Amino acid sequence: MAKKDIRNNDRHQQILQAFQAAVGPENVKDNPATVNAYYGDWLPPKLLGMSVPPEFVVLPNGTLETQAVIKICNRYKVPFIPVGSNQWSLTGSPNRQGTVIIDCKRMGKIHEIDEKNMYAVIEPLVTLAQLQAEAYKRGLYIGSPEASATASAIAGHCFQGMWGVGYRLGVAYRNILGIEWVLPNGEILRTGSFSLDAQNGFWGEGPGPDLRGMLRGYAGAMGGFGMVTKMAVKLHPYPGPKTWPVRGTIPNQISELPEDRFKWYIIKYDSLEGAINFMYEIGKAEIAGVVQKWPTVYYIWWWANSNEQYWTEWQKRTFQDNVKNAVGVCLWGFTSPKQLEYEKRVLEDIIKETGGKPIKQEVFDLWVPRTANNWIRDTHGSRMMRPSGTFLALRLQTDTLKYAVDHVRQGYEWVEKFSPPILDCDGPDWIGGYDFGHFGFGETDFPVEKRAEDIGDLMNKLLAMTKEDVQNGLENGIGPFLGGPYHQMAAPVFNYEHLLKGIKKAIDPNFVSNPPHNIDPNA
Amino acid sequence: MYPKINKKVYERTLEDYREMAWGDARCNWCMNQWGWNVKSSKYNEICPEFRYTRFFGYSAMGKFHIIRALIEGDFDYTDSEKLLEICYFCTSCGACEMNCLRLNEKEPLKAAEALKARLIELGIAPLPAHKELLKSIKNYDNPWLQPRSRRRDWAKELDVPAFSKDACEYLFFAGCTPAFDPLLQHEIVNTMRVLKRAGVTVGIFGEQEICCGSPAIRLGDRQTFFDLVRRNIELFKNAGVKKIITHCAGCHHVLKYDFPEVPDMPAYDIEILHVSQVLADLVRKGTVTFTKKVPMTVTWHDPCHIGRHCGIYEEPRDILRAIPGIKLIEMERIKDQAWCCGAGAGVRTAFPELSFKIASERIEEAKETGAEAIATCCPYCEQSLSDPLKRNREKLKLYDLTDIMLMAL
Ligand SMILES: Cc1cc2nc3c(=O)[nH]c(=O)nc-3n(C[C@H](O)[C@H](O)[C@H](O)COP(=O)(O)OP(=O)(O)OC[C@H]3O[C@@H](n4cnc5c(N)ncnc54)[C@H](O)[C@@H]3O)c2cc1C
Ligand code: SF4
Ligand code: SF4
Repeated sequence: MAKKDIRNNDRHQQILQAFQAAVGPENVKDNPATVNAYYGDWLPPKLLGMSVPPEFVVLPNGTLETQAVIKICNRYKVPFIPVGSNQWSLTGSPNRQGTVIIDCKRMGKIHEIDEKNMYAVIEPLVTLAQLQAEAYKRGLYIGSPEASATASAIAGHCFQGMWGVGYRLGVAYRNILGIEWVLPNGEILRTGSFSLDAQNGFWGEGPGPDLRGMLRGYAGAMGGFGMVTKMAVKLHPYPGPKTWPVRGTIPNQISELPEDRFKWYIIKYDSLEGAINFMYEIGKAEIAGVVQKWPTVYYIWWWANSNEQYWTEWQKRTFQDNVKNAVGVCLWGFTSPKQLEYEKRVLEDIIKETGGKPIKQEVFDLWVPRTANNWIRDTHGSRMMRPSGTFLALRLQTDTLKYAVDHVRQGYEWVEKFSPPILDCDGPDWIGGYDFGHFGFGETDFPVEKRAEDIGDLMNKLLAMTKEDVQNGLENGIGPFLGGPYHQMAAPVFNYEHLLKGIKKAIDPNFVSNPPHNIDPNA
Repeated sequence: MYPKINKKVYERTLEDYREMAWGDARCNWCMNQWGWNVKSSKYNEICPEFRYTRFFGYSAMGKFHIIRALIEGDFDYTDSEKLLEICYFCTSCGACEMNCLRLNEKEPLKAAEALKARLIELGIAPLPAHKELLKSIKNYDNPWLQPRSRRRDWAKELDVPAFSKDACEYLFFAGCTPAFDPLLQHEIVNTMRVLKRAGVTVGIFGEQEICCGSPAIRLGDRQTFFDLVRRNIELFKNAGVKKIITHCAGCHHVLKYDFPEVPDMPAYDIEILHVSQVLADLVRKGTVTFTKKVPMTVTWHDPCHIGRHCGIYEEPRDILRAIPGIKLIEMERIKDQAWCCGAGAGVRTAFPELSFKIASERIEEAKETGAEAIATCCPYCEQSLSDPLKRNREKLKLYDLTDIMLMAL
């Protein structure tokens, strides 16, 4: 039987007409087929009954149209969610009836790439893959989160911002310069040099207190502070070719960067502590472009062309027996081939001093050409979901490398309970150093079955665990990535609720910007 | 392990895609070029349907969510107007499935085609423009309302024998579109000429040939397709066909990969080869040598149905490279990441303006290479790509692979 059609309602029609007047009728949709495409999830709020289909999907073009849309949302007090590529649907799926998705699919301009001053001014649809391609042409580069280079570069900069090249570039949000931003109340805010000249984003600071912090944080503002419509982001000098080198077609592709400028090493240790010590030493020497400790499952997740190949290789133990406690290092001859030669000598000394051993050559040759460069360009993170439908990340930490080691193991209990057997090799811990290892990041990632029937139970357990952590004064874990519900629990415990609620109240008086993210000011 | 659907593709119902739909990763790879391949921000996108609509519903990812919602009863089929648009704007180019299968082991195009099949079963589809096509297939064994008696007209001037298993190594399956459209007949006429010069013994069914069923299955009409498949197999078996050469990319895909997916198929053992495969092999062996110079820069448009759907990427390129004077320059989106011509799955028939936009984008991409000509090997691609060339009076020339081969022989 047909459900009651909300579209017959007067208020719905008024809002629809207002949106249509603001962005053109063809850029607003409210029919069930279209809106249902924005609802449902790899992370399962839908299964927990936490998400509902939006009432409208609106595609503004540019800051002024976005402002008009957000003003309409305020006029009618309807919630809205800004979305980029919408991969992080945990905070990008509607939680409230009547939600408006403000999708950036008409905002795809790269306004400028300033080669000399090394920055790009982009709109929210521009993906990291696009920006990378344009940057390479100009001898510059930018990273990509594990999620994928299909992510919106702007969303990537104001969400988690962890990427393979973070060792060198730091967390993505540290690379934000000027921002043009429609606040939840519909005001336009321009920060950095955009505040003086809307065409010029080269400078990130000011005016007044640095407001970029509002978009940063552990997992960003999650659409709770309005929509960024333009951003200037830093690019960095790149010694690679102008077009990404790739041979073959899917699934048998090979990517090899020029040998005189790039060299991969994969060095293994007897213990995780040994591996982390190696990472510290590399950081102290200030060499390399990428330094990552991947768990064994990553090697095989990223390498396998199919589930079948994944399990066949698993049976053969190709990776389990060879990459345990291994660290991947890519040296970059940033300035010249000579720099690469110098760094090779330094790294080889460090390997000797720390007792590391290269992994078997045949495993290196199997893995590196097909997979390693994913950590420089386009990480294809959804491969993590392939073996079983989805994956869970636990015990995420952003502190020191040592802290990461101390904490990742706490996730193992869950790995054993909820995942196919993967602990017979090593813990599924991904540990990365940022800013030359001054800052460390760790998480325990493992595949879990994504069956409509049982994932809900798992998610409830996850929420319960997060609650318990908070009560025990532990702020780490997946929690912050849940957005609002987490901040609701944790903010009073860790004493940041006044700040967060204060900002929210000041700029979102009608509480329309992606409630309950990033916090409910009235709770 | 993530559940695989252990059923033939055309035994599957929409409900069989439930787990896949729930497991959608929202990774967006069905809309974007594979990351390592992106060469510019301009040619990043890969799904022609999404490119010109901008709402997720009109993408493979969105369709998974629509399928999930339909299966779970979150909404029903009464929203048919937009649902039809969403389903039938899709050209079945397979770009989504190429990337999604590799990354996520999911089959979004097959799921989307199962949704079309459901719409047909429910009587919501086909669209009026497609109804005619399907009716014509049923009445005349071709989608173009043409009498069977005209099917052999294209070969009038040629000395092509009727297929006989003793005299012919191959059956040439001409396909309805190039057989009946005078503007496209050169494709199969030249194919015959080239094959003859190469010494390949080939015969045709002529008036006995019937549609391969490609339009039917791409539109979701499984019953019409199944019927054609069975009749075709019977024809092939009765004639003792062992090897078939195709030219039309759509026919090739269907004969090679869709026929075996039909439930309760009678057993058959027939090798299906595309003309580019047969000829590339002969060029490689030195049986075919090009004696004339063709001084021309050419860019190759991979037809989705031989490229992505069948993995034929190198053969046509090898042929072009072997022709003296030809300089092959590549577009940005090629091979598995090629941009579609916009014709497929009835899009050009029902939504000519959408098809025109998609084709225009390909022509723009081709022009940017600086090539003098764009070459391809599919009647639908030729039709579609010629639309913007004609409307905009472009200088860029459009050739079929066999046209160029003939110039060089
Ligand atoms: C498999 C997987 C692996 C991942 N691994 C990593 C990783 O290693 N490192 C990492 O950093 N991240 C990781 N993520 C998260 C990832 O960063 C984000 O999914 C992605 O970068 C965000 O880009 P998006 O375009 O998908 O954003 P969306 O999902 O569209 O948005 C993310 C959040 O930002 C908000 N938002 C989006 N656009 C705007 C805008 N213009 N203005 C204001 N707010 C906006 C949204 O409301 C939402 O709450 C992973 C995600 C997945 C699915
Ligand atoms: S590529 Fe596949 S899994 Fe990824 S968003 Fe598209 S349909 Fe979903
Ligand atoms: S088959 Fe092509 S047009 Fe259809 S959804 Fe997939 S990529 Fe888009």
